[in-house]
Amino acid sequence: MAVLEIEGVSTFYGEFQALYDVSLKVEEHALTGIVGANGAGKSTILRTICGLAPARSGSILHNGVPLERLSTFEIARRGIALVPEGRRLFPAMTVLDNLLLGAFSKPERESREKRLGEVLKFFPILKKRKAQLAGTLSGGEQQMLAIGRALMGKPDIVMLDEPSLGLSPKMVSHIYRILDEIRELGITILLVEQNVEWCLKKADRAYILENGSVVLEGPGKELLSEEGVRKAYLGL
Amino acid sequence: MTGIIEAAVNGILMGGLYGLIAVSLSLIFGVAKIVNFAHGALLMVALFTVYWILELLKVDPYLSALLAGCFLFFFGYYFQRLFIEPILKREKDTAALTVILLTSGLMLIIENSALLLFGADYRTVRTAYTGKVWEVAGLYIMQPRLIGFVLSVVLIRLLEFYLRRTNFGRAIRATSQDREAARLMGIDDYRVYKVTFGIGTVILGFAAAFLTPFYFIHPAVGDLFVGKSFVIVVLGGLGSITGAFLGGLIVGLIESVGAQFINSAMVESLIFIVFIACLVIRPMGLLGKERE
Amino acid sequence: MRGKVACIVSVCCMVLLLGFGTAFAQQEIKIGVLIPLSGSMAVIGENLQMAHDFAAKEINDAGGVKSLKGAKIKLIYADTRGDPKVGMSEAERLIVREGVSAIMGAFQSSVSYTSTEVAEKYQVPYLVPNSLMDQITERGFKYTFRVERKGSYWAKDQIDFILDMGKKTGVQAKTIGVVYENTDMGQSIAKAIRKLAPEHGLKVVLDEGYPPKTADMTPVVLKMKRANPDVVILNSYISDAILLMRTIADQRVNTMALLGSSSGYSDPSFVKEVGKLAEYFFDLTEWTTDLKHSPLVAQKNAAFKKWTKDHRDFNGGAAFCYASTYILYDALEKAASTDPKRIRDALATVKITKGPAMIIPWTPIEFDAEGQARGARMLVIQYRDGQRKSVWPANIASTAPVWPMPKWEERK
Ligand SMILES: Nc1ncnc2c1ncn2[C@@H]1O[C@H](COP(=O)(O)OP(=O)(O)OP(=O)(O)O)[C@@H](O)[C@H]1O
Ligand SMILES: [Mg+2]
Repeated sequence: MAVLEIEGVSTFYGEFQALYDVSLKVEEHALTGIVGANGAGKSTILRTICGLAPARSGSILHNGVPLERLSTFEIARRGIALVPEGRRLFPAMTVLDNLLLGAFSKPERESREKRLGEVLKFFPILKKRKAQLAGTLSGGEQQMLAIGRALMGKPDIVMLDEPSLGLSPKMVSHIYRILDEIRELGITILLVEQNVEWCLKKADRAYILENGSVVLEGPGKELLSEEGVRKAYLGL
Repeated sequence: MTGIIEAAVNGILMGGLYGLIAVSLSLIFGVAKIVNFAHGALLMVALFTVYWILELLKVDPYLSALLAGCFLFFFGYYFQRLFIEPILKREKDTAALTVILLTSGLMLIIENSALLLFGADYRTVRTAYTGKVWEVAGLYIMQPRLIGFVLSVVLIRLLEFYLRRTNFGRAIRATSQDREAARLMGIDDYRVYKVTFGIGTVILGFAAAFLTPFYFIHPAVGDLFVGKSFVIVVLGGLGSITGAFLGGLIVGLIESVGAQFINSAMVESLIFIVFIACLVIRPMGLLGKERE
Repeated sequence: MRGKVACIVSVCCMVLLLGFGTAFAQQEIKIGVLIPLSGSMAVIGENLQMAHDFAAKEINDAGGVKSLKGAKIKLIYADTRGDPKVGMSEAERLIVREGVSAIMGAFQSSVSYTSTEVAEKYQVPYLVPNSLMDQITERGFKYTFRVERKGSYWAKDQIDFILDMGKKTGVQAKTIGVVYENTDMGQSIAKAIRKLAPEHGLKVVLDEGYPPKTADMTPVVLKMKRANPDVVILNSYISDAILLMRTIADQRVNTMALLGSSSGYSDPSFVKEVGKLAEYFFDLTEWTTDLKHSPLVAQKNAAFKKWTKDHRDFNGGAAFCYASTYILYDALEKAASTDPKRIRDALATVKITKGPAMIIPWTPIEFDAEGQARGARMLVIQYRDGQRKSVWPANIASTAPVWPMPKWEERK
């Protein structure tokens, strides 16, 4: 069964329609990719799932449970973690506090210490920076903290919005390695990524978004070999 | 010279109470971004709560703070729940202005209700501490003020501990820094607002208990403190707890020591001059965070 | 048959009588009253309101204004909130919308000062019972009348009292301090003392106006302690009076005398809230309940006490509001009209020597060309066992003063 099932979703910002009848599925343990030009509505899909930009119509099911009527914090407590565009850390709090907040909801709190150990092992750099304010970390460290914070909640699914944005090439490949590792842990991933080639190569299934509508979908590797996609997104 | 020292001591002691009252305002503003013009009215409610506890139960005034706190927490909690929350939920963009209008209106309603309920009489409570003075090296230090000051410092330390070290305290700080991100952590931001409002009102309950032994109680008593509180909050840095307390001490000191050199009527202007000078040098307030 | 006729006639008569009766009863003279009824002044305003109401009730119960066929006086209250601007707009509302024939008010000098301007513009007489800022009657207004003494005369009376006490007891004051709320009323007394005191050999060593809504009086009291004046003249509303008194006691500031200027110090809340600390405090006032000049004082005070729900005494402000209502009543009787201009002319020529207005201790009550009550007399009381006892001038006083006040350390 799909972990997330989105059916005919339309989302508006005031009068402006950002998503037109979008449908997509996220399978368990899979990496699902969303690609598209700037302003296509990729972030909006993730925000809609989280309830930050509620859908006006359509349905969103998480393990068969509808999410549309829930508020963001309830959706988050169901184990849907978002690593938002721009990371959105709590800049005036320490790295440790940021991580602990990732496991805010009650059930997670029990195993918090254990998970903290795991996450810090996963990101050794964060262990070193534990007492530092999040706002003073470097861009790469901040991204790792954002991912680490999402993992603290023992999520069912992690959604990442352009995790490589604004990072040095070295840091980008480091982040990619981390994504691979997360995937190997069996965590379901929904990824929005600028780097279309990498994203499609890795994605079990991918969606191509244009002006708020899904124009193409299929296994990542298949899409990568399509003529139209190569022309439009890879400049080949 | 002893006169000046005496004035400085008094300024610090009174400033601590100004600070405590401002801390409550600053906390609510910092977390929920609510400009609460009903702050003075809530202080008045707190004073009446303490007053009735003392009148009816005849307990120690400092003990009454705990009892008053229990009631005031829910008063603040439901104040936010019933009046402010619906506006925040309904109006996403214009809420800030509406809340200002609403809290100003609520201030009038609360004050006038108190006037109807309790009349316009001035009330005082004679406690075991009222009028008691410690004589230290020729200085008279009023007991209830010193006790109130010390307890204020303790209370603010406790509040800081709560915000730094507890789970919900962390959630409160997270919400104040990035509300959306806090929701993504599973934090119920509206609940954080309500609890914060409750805590703010509890702080007012303590301030009320510290004031009562040497002050009076009247439906309009909040007016005496509310203007100063806003000045202190901005001076200390919006949303900063320590800043607000420090701002209170500074205002108390200027008020008390300043009056020894210039006419008291001019001291208000002096406070404003210092206030504006501070803002020119540090626009974000003494301990405020720089905002982009 | 005859029985029937008689019956019809008598019914007709009754109908006529009743008809006329109700026609008379319905006729009302609308009088506006401007006072603070909300905010921190509300307690003062309510007290004054009761005095006005009590006088109007007495007048109406006694048959209303006889020259106007028993028309009843109807008081219409407007809340100034103690704000001069609100006072102006409320005065305008009373005149234009309510159509009042005359106005009384507005307690605070600053509010009286602005609202009398409105009444002057509309040519409606305005009787000021309590405000003492000199300028209120010094603008050549034709429609403003003041019953209270001017602020500058108050200061003269206070200085006279201090000198007199020195002469009588041999404990003479050399230095003096003035502490006042920095409003028109406070400044008006302070200004006069600044001028008068040196002329009588008293050195002003402290001259401190504190802003309204002062939360902490300690700075002012510490300053007082350092300046160490023999006598301090105080002028406050209630909350500041309570705070000042408590702080003076806390800081053990000893003087020969603390002399208030009525207002807050004469309000019942003051002695109720500061309790024993008020003992030996002197207060300059226009009036007390123990005055000896007329039996009316005791009678009317007792009646007021019985009538009010909380059985309170008149204070000076209330007594003047009560008397002012009677002064206006006297003018209405003389004018035999509800026309504001006529009432104004009648007020200008009143010369009252009897009736309840005489609870004010001077005769006759009349106004000079400025509209200022002529020949006012002030007196001084001292709090003794929680009572306001008149102690000066000796000829109308009930009690001998204690001068100097005992030191704080020596009190129980
Ligand atoms: N809060 C908002 N109010 C109004 N319009 C918005 C808002 N957020 C996004 N939009 C609009 O919705 C459209 C989709 O935005 P979205 O952020 O989802 O794009 P994106 O695909 O994530 O782009 P990018 O690659 O630049 O991040 C854009 O045209 C954008 O201008
Ligand atoms: Mg985006």
